[in-house]
Amino acid sequence: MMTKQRQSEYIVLLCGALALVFTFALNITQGEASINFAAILNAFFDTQKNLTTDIILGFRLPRAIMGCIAGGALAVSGALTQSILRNPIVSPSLLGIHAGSFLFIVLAVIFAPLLMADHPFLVSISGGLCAVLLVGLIAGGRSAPPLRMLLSGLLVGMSLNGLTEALLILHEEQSRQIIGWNAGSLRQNGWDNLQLVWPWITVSLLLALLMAHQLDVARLGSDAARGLGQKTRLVSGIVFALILILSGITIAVTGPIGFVGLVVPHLVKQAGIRRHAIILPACILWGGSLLLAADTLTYQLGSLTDTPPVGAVTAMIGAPFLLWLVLHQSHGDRGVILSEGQTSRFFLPRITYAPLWLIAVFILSLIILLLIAGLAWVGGYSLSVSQLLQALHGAKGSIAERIVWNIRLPRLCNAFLVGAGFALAGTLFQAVLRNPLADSGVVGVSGGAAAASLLLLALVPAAPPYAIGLSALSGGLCSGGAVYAMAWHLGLSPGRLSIIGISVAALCGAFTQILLIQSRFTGNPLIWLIGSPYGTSWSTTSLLAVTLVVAFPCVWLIAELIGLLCLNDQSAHGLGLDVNTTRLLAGGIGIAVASLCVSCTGPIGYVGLIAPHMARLLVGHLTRPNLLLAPLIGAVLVGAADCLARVIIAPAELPTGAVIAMIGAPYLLYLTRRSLKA
Amino acid sequence: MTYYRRHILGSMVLSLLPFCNAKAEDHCIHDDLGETCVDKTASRVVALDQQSIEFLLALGVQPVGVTSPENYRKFTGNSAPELSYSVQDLGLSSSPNIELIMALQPDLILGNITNVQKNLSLLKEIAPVSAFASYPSGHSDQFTTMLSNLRTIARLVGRATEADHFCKMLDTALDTGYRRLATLGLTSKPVVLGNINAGARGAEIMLFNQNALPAQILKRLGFSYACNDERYREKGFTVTSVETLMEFENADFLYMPFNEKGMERLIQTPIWRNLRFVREKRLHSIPYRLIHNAPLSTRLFQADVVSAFQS
Repeated sequence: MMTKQRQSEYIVLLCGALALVFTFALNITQGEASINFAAILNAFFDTQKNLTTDIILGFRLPRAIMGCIAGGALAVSGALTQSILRNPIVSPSLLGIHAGSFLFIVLAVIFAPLLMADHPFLVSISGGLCAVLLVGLIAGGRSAPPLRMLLSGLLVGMSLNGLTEALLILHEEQSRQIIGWNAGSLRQNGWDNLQLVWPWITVSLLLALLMAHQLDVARLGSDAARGLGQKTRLVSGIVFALILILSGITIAVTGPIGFVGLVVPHLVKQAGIRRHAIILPACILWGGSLLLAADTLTYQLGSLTDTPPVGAVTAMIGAPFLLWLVLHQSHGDRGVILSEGQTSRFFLPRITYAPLWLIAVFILSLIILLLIAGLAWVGGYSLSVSQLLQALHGAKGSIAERIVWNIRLPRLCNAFLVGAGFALAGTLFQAVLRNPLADSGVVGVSGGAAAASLLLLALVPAAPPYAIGLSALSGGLCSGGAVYAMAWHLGLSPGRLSIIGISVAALCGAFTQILLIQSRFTGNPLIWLIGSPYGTSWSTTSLLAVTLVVAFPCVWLIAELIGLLCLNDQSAHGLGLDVNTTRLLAGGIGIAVASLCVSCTGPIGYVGLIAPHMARLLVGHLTRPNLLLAPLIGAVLVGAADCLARVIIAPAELPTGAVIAMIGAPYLLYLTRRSLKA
Repeated sequence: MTYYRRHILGSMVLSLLPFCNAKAEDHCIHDDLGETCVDKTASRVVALDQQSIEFLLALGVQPVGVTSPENYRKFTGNSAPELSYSVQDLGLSSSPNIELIMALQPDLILGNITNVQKNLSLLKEIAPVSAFASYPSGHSDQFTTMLSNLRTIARLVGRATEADHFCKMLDTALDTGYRRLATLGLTSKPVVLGNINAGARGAEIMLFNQNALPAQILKRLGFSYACNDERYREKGFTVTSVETLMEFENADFLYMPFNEKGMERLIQTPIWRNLRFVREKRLHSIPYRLIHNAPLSTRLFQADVVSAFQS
């Protein structure tokens, strides 16, 4: 047995080394100037310098070496993350570390270019640190259940990416410089970066190797590890520092490249390797080969305008891999991911026992206040109260009347309606997935809609807005439907549904990245991805109103069944509930509503997530009151955020989604803190 | 004979008729959105991108509202007509403030098809909208397209003579430039133009194709343009790395630094130092201009090129 284990270890290492050499050689042959293989070989032995030698030695060789180093670092940081969190489905990118580092880099490039030039690693590592702290706090600590950790990572990642996108929209000039970095690139400009990076990465990798035995112990769980005499706090501190350094430094030089850290450690462990002393070197070899292979693929499509970012390619490989992992998991440690026990709720006491009607009246009056304030003051043109009243009475044809009736009123109505829609969908998703961190991003609706609208824009650049809306609608429905269909095939368990949703969202995200890169010079494609009721009119209002008028009664009818979904499947069955049909129905309505909302305004995250929680704080866990209040709260949230978005940097405006993310993340933190105390 | 004379006179009178009664028709034009008509000659015009600002100022019209006015001032400098400081700032060109546009009560809104796309119906309620594609379809010569766009806009704002005047001025400038360069013996010299941006890692070079506007200017100044690739004709450029420059070693390299960092990164590479046009110092730096479909930047660009070669 022992020898067989050893044998497979040697095979994995040997094959890894061969794969690395092969992909390395292949990578060097690729580039924008066509240089044949003989000339490449010549370049290595040529003593007199010519241009080909320069290209090979000064451009492609450092690129390939960077590929090895970055791939190895990413794979090892993934392996470390999985071992120390004892969670087989995490990686630094899924934990939001990449998004955090990248946000900090963008912030530094825009606001503190000197800091970025002098201390790029510091900037990037501190971004990763912030993200990881945020994820840890939201998930409720290091020992949080795997799925919850993953969902909080996704959430933090999405909101940080939202902020990054908002920054890029507002700073057009810098965004041209940065956007190509957004999904990673191995391109090098000589040896400078490599010289800067390699000591850090090498030392960190060596340290990781020295920790191999400690990691073997840590994987047994903290109690067992302590029993075996390990200083668990010290070990996890060092490992986390290594993870942050490895991924932070890699991101600072290559941009965020996801999924290498997830796929490679899995494959290595799949090959039957258990000891970290072998896992880590194998990860270095295979991580390097995977990244170099992905990078080599990108050059097949032409010059930079058409070259997809390497991060998108790794996501295209990695997301289906995650899907496969979920669809084919049967036993072993992967079973842990999907066990029903770890889906948890926030157990929070109500903060008020006021009657429902009073709360509803209070929120409605907030909406009316927002309406008045929004009509009178928000927008570029200032109106006095008397002008507003005249306009509302219909002083026909005056500017005030046109501004109020044609611009402000429809926009406010759309903000309210879309907020209500997202909140309704969020309530449904949280019940169906039995998970307090679910919203329309998690089931893949937002990602599918974004990818589909960019695809249409790439094919028909002058497509009218309604066509783009339709395309977004069908994209959202398709990806949401696909997630559901795959999960249905596996019995619709909440855990599987979430992970399938995450993989599909990542796949759509990779697609979006590729389309973004292609159109960055000729238009402003980001404007279609950012959620905001900007530029919407009464026709949107009627569409949203019809959607809600149809969907709400349907949900109301099955409200009691939805309420039972929060029990575990056996109890629900015992009460005579057809669990799967209910899940299908509620989830289907949720996907339809969310897709329609996304198609009208673009994805506005966090509303669907926090509105249901706020409702629960106010009225407890009864389903019908929640279904009533959550949409109202959602309306207030989006309405208020949209007003703020238009005021902060007038006459320009911020994306509404970014404003909500800024409110939403801290609120979620507060919620977790409270529920941990309770 | 008399019959013919009468016939000719008659037809002359008839041919004058349209000018008397077809006022309305004269205010209709074809642009990339289809047909756009204004009731009367537009005088209060809103410009939603830098190209539109340039068209208006080239025709001697001060817009009443523009997006990102600071960008126009930054990219054109002092030698172009000044954009009035009292002009209303409408925010970003990707999401202009619609209320402010409405409050200006314009009689024409100018933009490009990507930035009016999202709210075309709202804008149309405010005033007629005319928009052009930044990169004309049909792979055409972008200089000719720019001039025809200028004349089209001139009809909407009733400045046909100013358009003629501008075109004539540009022609004369190109002619003078051609002769000056010819005296330096530069006729038919191969050149290639790139715009240098600090990419994620390493400089990105936006390499212009022969049908691009600046390449056409270079051709009209007597140079022979070295980059002509069917794949790049649609947009008139490709974005690439320094490796590609290997193909153009025989040409003189003209570059517009979009940012200093880009140049820094380009110069750092050993490839750059060993390119033949770098070693032989056949390099010419030209100030960055936002040059596609923009008349004033075109004029500035041709002056920049002539002075770059004269010095």
